[in-house]
Amino acid sequence: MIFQSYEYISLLIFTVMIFWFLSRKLQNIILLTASYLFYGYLNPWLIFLLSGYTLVNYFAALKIQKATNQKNKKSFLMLAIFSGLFVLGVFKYFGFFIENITNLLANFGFLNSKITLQIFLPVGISFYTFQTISYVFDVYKGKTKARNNLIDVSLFIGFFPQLIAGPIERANSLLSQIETKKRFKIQDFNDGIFLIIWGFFKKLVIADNVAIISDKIFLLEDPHFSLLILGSLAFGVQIFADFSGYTDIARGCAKLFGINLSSNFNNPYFSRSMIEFWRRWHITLSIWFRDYVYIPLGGSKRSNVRTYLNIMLTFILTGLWHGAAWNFVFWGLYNGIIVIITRIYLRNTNFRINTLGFILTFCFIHIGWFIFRSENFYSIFSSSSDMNIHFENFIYLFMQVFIFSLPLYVYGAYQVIRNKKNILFRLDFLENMYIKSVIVMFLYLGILILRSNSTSDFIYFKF
Amino acid sequence: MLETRIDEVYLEEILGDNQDVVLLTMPGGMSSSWYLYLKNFVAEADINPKNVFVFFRDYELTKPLYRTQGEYSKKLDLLSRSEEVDFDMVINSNSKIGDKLSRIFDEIYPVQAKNNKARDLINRAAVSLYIPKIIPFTFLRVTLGLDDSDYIPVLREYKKIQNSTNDLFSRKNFRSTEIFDSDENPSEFMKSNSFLNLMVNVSNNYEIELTFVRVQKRPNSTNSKNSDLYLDEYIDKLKKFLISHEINFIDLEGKGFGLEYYLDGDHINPENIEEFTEYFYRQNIIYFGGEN
Repeated sequence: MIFQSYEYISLLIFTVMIFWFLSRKLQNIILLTASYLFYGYLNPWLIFLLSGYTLVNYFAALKIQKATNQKNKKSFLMLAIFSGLFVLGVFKYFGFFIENITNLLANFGFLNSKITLQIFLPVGISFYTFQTISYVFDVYKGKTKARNNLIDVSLFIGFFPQLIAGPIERANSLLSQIETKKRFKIQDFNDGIFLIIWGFFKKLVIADNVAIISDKIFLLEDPHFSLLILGSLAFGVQIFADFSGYTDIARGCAKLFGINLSSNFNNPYFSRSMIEFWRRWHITLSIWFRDYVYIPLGGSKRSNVRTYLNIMLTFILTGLWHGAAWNFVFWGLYNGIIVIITRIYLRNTNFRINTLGFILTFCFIHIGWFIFRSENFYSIFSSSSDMNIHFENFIYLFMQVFIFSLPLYVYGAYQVIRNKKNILFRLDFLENMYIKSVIVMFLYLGILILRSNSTSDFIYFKF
Repeated sequence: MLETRIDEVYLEEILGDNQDVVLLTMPGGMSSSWYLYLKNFVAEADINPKNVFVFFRDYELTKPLYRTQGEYSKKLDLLSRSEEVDFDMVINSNSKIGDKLSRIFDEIYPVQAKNNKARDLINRAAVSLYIPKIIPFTFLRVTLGLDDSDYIPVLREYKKIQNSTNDLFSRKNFRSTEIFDSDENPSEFMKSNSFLNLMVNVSNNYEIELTFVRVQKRPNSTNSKNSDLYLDEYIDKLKKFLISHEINFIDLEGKGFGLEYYLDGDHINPENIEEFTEYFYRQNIIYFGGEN
């Protein structure tokens, strides 16, 4: 089931309506039922996969907690982690692996033809695999306790608003909320509705409209260089509006059940360095890689060279997490290199210009999006476009992207100004419930009138 | 589709003998509108044409819900009589919960029908850096109801930029997305709840000679056409189905009039419509009362 479907809206309204009249135990049962219905709506077999993940990690966490020696604890941890990664590997990376191996063998003449496997990728598998790993890892490290209640653990892994594309939650945050009785608060409800409508506006109005331009550009065989710049800018707007829109809808829906999900974005395009960008973009994934990959590898506690290697490896894995394709690996590599260069620069000089940092970071981000989006980005180096593009065409397309992205930047600027400590006046009128309601009405009207005729799945559903 | 394919004046000229050609078109219309035109504007209007041609692509004849909601719902209302029992039956029997909710939503919020106008406003704002005059004219149009014909030179400049921008993509890049997935069930057209069956019934009941014309398959982004076994099988069965019901079928896929005559994946280049009209007439003269 997808968020922008009437089936989902019906499920959400129905679940919310009965949720608040139930006891805590029944509340979780209805949420779990809704979650499994949501996940298995188009493909019921996915429910078995999710249940399997849940059972393995539920029992593994209990065994880790009960184990009397470190060796046994570690064995159960490894069992849980590798079983999850194995399933993820088969579904997501096996086809890529086979294709590259056979390509290599074919190039050396050991095979006559290349083999391409088309393996069905269960939606959201990368997200809930990581969430389950964090649960057993935190139990192993003693940061959280293994839970006996299977329904609570199942709901933690399968909670429908965040099941398919995050935010990737920790047990200490989400599971502890699931275990407590939720109290109805009108403020939560109001905030939830605002987030849902704002999220839908971002997806249906901004992302889907800008996608028309970026998709067309990236489909061109030999585009003019100016169009590639425009395509990257458009894709930057599209992916931010799309993914942050999803996160806002997920957070808004969760708020309707009295649950607070983590924030995944903090105005990433206002960053002044790539290090800052990665603290503001897909925050829960960045923190996951920091805590479960970068720090276990040694983090920055060892030599400089080792630190850079750790950064590089973490970013390559981050790229690969997004998909089994070389452009994602190169995107990870590119980000790792830029972050290392930034780190070296910041350590060795005190010279800082915020505006320059902002502009450079904006450029670096969008070069990254070009690598991320382009399936054969290396063709740019051999570009021989004779495409006849006039200035007015470029301006016309650019202005369309700009007009649609304007609400993103206005809201972002509002948040930046609101959070300034030394500002003369407090700009927090949006927190007023009545003003928020009026804005919700305008956004809703905007969705009705301006939504794109062609809507597509959320980009991160593919990961 | 007919609108961008056949030049009615030119066809009348070729046909001679005071024969009339009437184009019945709804921009973007699909099988639902074709059925309503055939029933309400041809059969029940007591017009007895020599032949009725319905141009379609791929699986369009058996996808009854396609383009029946939102702005299309209002357009279909204009083609409908106060009661359309068979039409409603086809729509309802094909609708899932989401489709039904969507229709209710359309009724509650008719403002959605303003979508195209709102998009046009944004496009005008996007060219305003280049054609600043368009802003006051558009403002007057919205506020005082100024007619588009009052500022044709400005509009012409605006359309020129729009067209040249579209050309960047459309000439080199036909639309890559298929309307429907190719893994559709190839025997789906045999179901009784599609507008194809209703059109066949109208043709038989009113003794109207009906001809379905399959147009060129939509090419992909590299201007080539993927082979599609499902579609081939579907068209094969569709052809047998139509012949068994004494309905004519013309397949233009892969025939002489190539992709170079197309403006994009869907539409014939306006400059080539006359040529296409003649080609279509000469190739299918038998359906116009002539002899091969």
